[in-house]
Amino acid sequence: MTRGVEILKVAELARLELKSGERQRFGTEFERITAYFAQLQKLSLEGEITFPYPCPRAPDRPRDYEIKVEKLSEYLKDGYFKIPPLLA
Amino acid sequence: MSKLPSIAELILLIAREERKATEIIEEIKGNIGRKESEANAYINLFLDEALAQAKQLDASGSKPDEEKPLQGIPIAIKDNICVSGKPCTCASRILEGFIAPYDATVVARLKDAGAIIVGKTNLDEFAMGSSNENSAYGPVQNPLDTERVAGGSSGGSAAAVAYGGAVAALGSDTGGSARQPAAFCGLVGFRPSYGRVSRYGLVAFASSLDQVCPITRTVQDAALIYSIIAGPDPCDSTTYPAEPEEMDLAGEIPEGIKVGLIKECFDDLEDERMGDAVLRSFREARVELVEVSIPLVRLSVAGYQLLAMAEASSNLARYDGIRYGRRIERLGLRETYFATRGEGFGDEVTRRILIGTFGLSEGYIDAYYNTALRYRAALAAEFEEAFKKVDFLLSPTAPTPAFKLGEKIRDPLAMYLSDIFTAPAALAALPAISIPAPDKVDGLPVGIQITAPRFADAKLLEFAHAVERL
Repeated sequence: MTRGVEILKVAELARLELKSGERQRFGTEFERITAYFAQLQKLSLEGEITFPYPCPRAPDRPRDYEIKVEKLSEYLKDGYFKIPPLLA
Repeated sequence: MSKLPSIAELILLIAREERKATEIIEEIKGNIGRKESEANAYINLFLDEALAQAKQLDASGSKPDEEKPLQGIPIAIKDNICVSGKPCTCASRILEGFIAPYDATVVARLKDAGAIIVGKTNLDEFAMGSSNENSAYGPVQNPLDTERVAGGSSGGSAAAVAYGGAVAALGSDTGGSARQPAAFCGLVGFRPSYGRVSRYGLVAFASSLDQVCPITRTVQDAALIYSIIAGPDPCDSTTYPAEPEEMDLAGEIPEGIKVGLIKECFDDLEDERMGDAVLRSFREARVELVEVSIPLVRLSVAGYQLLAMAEASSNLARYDGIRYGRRIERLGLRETYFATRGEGFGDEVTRRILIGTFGLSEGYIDAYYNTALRYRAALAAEFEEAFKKVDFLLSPTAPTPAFKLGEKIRDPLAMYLSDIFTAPAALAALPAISIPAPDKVDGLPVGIQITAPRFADAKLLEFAHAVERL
């Protein structure tokens, strides 16, 4: 593993369930790929970290929406919107 | 291979009443019937609907005009771009059953221009891949050689256009996903400057890099689609506020054009024939060729993949089985998230989410993600310097022609490296186009990649159109 980073810990952060074969396989690939990426660290890259969007961002402009309740009526029940159950 | 006319030719044929919209759809239907089972270019087809639309157009006598330049023209859409009321799978099991509730801005603009949407094309899951082998709907075969990949991630869009299953298609390009499949299938793939085309309704993979792109038979067709889909969009705050500039596709290379050959791309080619195929047209053209060094392109895959994986790990956090598509029920909510994501994502997406999460995690963010951001800025600065000396930059689109199915799928790093020539323009937010070289290598098409300064999209298309005609 990459300097003590365990694949299971990363999978936990990413909310991914990995099967035992996957842990082994992804772990091996992980080390090789991150070692390749680490070549960037050898460059002398100085300066500010630029904003990741490479384009000037336009300000958000609010728009009026006409909400047609009758179109949603099949999902209305007792004054509430019915949504599918989160868990059975 | 089908001899479907280009969009420009079809517009003339329809205008002269030499071809009807229904005949074009029927022709496409015939090509799909013959080729699709092998190519696997489409995930969903809407041919009956398309035929009904075409019949209506023919009955009303409508033809392409200034207001509806694409009237009756059949176009395919990559299945990570939303078409209202149609499934949008992103070639992932996790989006099974998801129906797009609205049209992407690019789709709405194509429909407004009269285009007929014939289907949604196959792709690498969530556009992550360079061979279209990472699809839950099976790999795409290259129609020019069915033992080879069509490229990725927009392999379905390229294959559909190549075998005559559509006149043109929309793909998306995050680090080369439209240009590389276009090159592998002998087509034109145009990546506009970041911000020129709205991403509203394009399912996010890496938001600072994703762009919607036309994949077409000719540069003229790419320019036509670009002129329709480009421009500011209030639904995407990263679109550039100014309208795109006018184009003049006169077909001549202007006097005094200076083209820079990216030294590192040509020096690192394992097969010199790739470089020769790219350069032949230019040696005969009225352009000055000079060598330009952009040393940082050699590490573009490391910079690109780190940023793309980090953004993907964040963008794909929303797929938890609650809000979209497939759900694997478990006793608790947390267990449901883990199981749904574990089973719903394929190997490549899982791999990228893991590495992206690692690159953003406490203790590693500076060494990986922030370093990649600094790299990106430095690479963009190298491009800026290069464009002080030349008008355009030139390289092959990919280091090799289309490789064999299965050749790289078990070696993720080798697969990532097939984007080494396309990733730099994406990182620097530059427009770039792949056009077919006149010469082939081992009987396979080779892509010429031309890159232009930021927002010089129109000049790039004008130049590429002239080069295509050499």
